[in-house]
Amino acid sequence: MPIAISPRNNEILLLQMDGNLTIEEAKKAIEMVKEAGKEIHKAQVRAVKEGYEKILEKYGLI
Amino acid sequence: MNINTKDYILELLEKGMREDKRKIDEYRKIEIRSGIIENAEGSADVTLGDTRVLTGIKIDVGEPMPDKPDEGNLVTSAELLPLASTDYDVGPPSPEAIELARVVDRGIRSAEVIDFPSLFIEEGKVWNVFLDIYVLNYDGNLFDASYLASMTALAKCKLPKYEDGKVIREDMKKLKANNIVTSCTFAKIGNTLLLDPSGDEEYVMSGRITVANDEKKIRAIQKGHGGSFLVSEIEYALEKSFEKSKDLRNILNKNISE
Repeated sequence: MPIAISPRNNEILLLQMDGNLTIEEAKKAIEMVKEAGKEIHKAQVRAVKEGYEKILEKYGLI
Repeated sequence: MNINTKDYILELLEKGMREDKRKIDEYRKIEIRSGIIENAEGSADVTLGDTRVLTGIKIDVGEPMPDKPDEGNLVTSAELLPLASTDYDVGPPSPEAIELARVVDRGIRSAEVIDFPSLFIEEGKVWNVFLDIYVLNYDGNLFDASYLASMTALAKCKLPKYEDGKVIREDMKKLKANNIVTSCTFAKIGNTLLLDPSGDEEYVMSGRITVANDEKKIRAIQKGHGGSFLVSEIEYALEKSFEKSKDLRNILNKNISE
């Protein structure tokens, strides 16, 4: 069940599932994505920042 | 569609109304006819309002998949015929047609409607089930109509016999259908989720979600068309789908037992 979420407003952008899930299980999965989405977002921001810091360092700008 | 119709739908929705006076969680009239194609092993013609979908099932001997040598196969395809809508053209399957076939296929597979091991004939030979969906007229919600048509055709489907290297299509037994799966499709317009969107409503919608389920479990979900959904909207769609699928199953059961 892949789920894509926008971490800023918790809106679901992609949702696809096949197999078998109860309503409770599906709801739980979506709840988990709310938290996990924020973590992934933090990691993405960190990766972008670190990348640019390296470039700035290389050219002696910081 | 002209701009007036779009504004009209949006204005009506603000008052909680729809173009055809339905409630937001109400289906259009569903009619199912089965066994209408003589040469097919199973067939059904479903109308959902002005949407009309025809399915035919052909069963033939074929080779098994290399990873499942002792199981039969299901091959689902969908065709959006040019006569169904001015938006459809002849040619290779459009992304919409591929999506429709995939979502129906996934639901039927996940709900274990077909007992694939029972389609084994002998080593290197299995029955292949070809499920073809033809959209004859488009007025929104092809998913739910296709699920109903496919399930009816499968439940009424016959299995040919294989004797001395020949396929015999006389005195055929019924193909066992183990489960019933139906889908409920919602269109998001503004902040409202509408069940069973019409063609006009699908034109205006920002997003679409289809939930396929049997009596107990969700078997497939497909969010399509773009847009975004609130978590509460997804939960509403899941719950509504279970509620509404009871009616769909009743309609199907009535037609299957006839």
